[in-house]
Amino acid sequence: MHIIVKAFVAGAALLGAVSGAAAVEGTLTLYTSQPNNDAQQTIDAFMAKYPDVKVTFVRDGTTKLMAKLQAELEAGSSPADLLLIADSVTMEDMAKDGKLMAYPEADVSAYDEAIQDLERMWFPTKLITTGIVYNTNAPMKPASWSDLLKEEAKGQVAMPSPLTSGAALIHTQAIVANLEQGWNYYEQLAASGAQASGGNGGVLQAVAGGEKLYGMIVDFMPIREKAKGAPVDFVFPEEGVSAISEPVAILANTKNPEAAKAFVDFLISREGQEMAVSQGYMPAHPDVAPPDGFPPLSEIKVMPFDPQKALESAEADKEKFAGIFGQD
Amino acid sequence: MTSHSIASVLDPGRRRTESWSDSEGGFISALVVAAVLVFCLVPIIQLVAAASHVFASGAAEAVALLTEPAVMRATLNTLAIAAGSTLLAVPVGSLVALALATMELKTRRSLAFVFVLSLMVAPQVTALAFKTLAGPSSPILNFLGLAPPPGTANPMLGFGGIALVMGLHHAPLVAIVIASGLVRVPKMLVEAAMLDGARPLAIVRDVILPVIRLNIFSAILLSFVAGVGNFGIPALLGLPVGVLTLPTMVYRRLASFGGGAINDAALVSLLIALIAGTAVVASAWLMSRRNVRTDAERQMEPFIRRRAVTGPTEAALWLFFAATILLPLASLVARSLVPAYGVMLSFETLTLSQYTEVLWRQALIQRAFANSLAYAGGAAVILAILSFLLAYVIDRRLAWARMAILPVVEMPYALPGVVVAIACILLFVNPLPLGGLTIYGTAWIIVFAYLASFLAIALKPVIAAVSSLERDVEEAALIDGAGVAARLWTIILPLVLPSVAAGGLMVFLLAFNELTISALLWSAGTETLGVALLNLEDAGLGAEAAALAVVATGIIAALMVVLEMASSCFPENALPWHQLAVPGRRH
Repeated sequence: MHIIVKAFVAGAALLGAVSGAAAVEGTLTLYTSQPNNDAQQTIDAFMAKYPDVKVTFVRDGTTKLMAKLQAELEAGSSPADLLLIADSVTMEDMAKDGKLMAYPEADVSAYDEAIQDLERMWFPTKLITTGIVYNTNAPMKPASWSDLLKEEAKGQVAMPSPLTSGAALIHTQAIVANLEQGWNYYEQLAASGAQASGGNGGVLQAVAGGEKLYGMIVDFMPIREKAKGAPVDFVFPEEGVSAISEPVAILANTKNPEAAKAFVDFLISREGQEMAVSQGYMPAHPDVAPPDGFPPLSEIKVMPFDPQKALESAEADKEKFAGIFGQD
Repeated sequence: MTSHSIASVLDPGRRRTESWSDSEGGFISALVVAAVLVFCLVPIIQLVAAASHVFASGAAEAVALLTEPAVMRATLNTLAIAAGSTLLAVPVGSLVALALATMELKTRRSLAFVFVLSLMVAPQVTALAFKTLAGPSSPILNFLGLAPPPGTANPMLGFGGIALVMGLHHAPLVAIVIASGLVRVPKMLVEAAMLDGARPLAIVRDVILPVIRLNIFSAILLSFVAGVGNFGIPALLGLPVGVLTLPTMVYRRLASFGGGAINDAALVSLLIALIAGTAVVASAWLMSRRNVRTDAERQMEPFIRRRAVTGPTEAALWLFFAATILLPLASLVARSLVPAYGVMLSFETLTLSQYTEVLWRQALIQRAFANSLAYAGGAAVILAILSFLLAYVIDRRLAWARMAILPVVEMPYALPGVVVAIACILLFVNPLPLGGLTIYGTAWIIVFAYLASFLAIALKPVIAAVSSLERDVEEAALIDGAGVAARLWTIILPLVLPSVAAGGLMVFLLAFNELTISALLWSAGTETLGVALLNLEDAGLGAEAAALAVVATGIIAALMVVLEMASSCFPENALPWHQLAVPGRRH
């Protein structure tokens, strides 16, 4: 009897799951800071699994994308259903304003609880570190952040600006908090002619094209381009790297919550994580092996970071950075 | 593409009696005048109102904003770059225009075509092409073994590069303005001087230069305005190295700080408008002072026929065009054929994967192609219809208002795109009073801005054609009892259709390539080709961006070739490259 009840409950649950899956249809709009080709692959893989859902994406640097989204939300409506952006600090900010939808049923059992949002507003999908890229023709192979201050690197360093990139903001905050010199590190970089503008893509082009020899950059770009033959390599500096988790979140005003949940499920599923690996990203899932070119997770030293403090000082840090590098 | 004011197409002194004017057609007049006001005047008024409001609510803060170091720096950068590019564009454009007009060159039409093609290629594409031409990873320099060692800055990035690329890009613009003066040089004067035994150089100096003097001044001013307003070139060559001009600063502030920056943007836009507007008004004033009588039947023809002069000139022109137009484009193609940015092109690395990625894999880019086609096509059709009606109304019904309407039409075209875009944001950021409808964040705001910006382009050939029509036929039809709609449809339209089509197609070419307006007005789903290109560059996908630029340029070039092959259908001068090659009869 007991067993029969159990079986019945399981059957009902299965039925529910099936009918739940059937409701995954309609359209979704993803706002993302992923490079265009990655964003396309991500939605293509999702649509292959859920052919009844049509996903479109909008891409820009995290900072610019958020400006667009905020303006739309203030004007009353945004087509965005999902957000897949660089950092959780921005997500926290959105969650605090009630603009995200919690998804407590999401299956995050495989993940380390420490990296998860307790409210289940956003979900880490990757581990993206910021380290050093260098052109393989460069005379010096940098090993630490302080190497970028050396004479050989004078006028040869490119870095993304927090005014464009979410990863760059977190990176700046992590460097300032962890390096002895604090902001003085950036002041010295600026004094030695480092260039800071645009996003990580610009840094990649400058270093791959040989116009600059060194740069601060998110890991997957140079590792992937190296595999394609570009003259670049990536270094995890001695002092440690900064890390972001490229979280995904559902917007509170989504018109298609079922499909949006399916999208989140897909990204954090083993399958979705393996797709991220195939794109050259370090997965967030602890059981999925990182792609070629990455050291094992245990060997990567991540600089500690206080998200709460980061959120509070975000605007001030952006201005401070802009001031040092003479940007408006 | 700015050329001198439409008003100068016709002698402003000409007036006709309106004795036969009927009372119908009042509706059409009201409609087109309303359209002109809505598209061309209301946004600018809104901009001025918003900026004045900012001033009124805190004059000290507004002044502080305009004098803050970042804005001052961007203003100085803008002025320096505009002046620098003009210093290059004016000599190059003038010399090319003079050579094409005075010398008997075998390939004159082709030279003019290639020269104007370089103007029709989008500024951002030109910038990208020149960026790939120089620097340590330049495919061309590496092929020649001349590439600088890694760690050498790309000379195209920053001040010098921006001024160089912009100067070359605007040189055809200068040439077109100069050519419009050259057609006013009376043939008789040249012939008299030759009979007098004057040498060709003396003829240029003593006969031609005095006639085109004001055109040269006007070209200087218009090249400067184009430089102040240009967005695509400083966006690709300045932003990556932190060199900001006023248009790119407005863009970056709006992009990074969202709606909160709109008031600042309005103020800065007004500053841009003032700089550009002053130069435009000065140019229009100069052109209105031209008092040389045009001998329409007998304009100057090429008079330098000595092969010893024309042969080397022709070769030099082709060499120059090869180096400044064809070589950068070839470099862009080379950059699009490698698997990753920074990889050297060779037989082993050659791949078409960027094209398949861009054209077949990326939904965003396919959408951008569809959007640009739809917005440019839609704007072209609407403007063709509007300019037909407007030309008729201005010529036949509201001739007295010509001098009031034409400057209004010209204004949004003469003003930099960034100014028009900000004006449109201000106009539509709040729902319209009519039923809370809003076009902000939709495709319509982009189309609206295109309509405002490009009406002058569509109108120019049509108004010339309509005013040259004889009135007899229409009067006969009127006596026959044909209403105004019937007369427009059956009599006037067939006669001016080629001009209407030429105007519409020019609008399409410009709007299809456009970046400035859509960079500020795009939203989810309304990305244009220009926006997609900027986006790929920003994402670090340099090879993909090059592939997209090659395809977009291919489309423009193909359209221009089609237009050229069909050129016998179009009125003389409707295609800008014909204005360069037009002195002398058509063959």
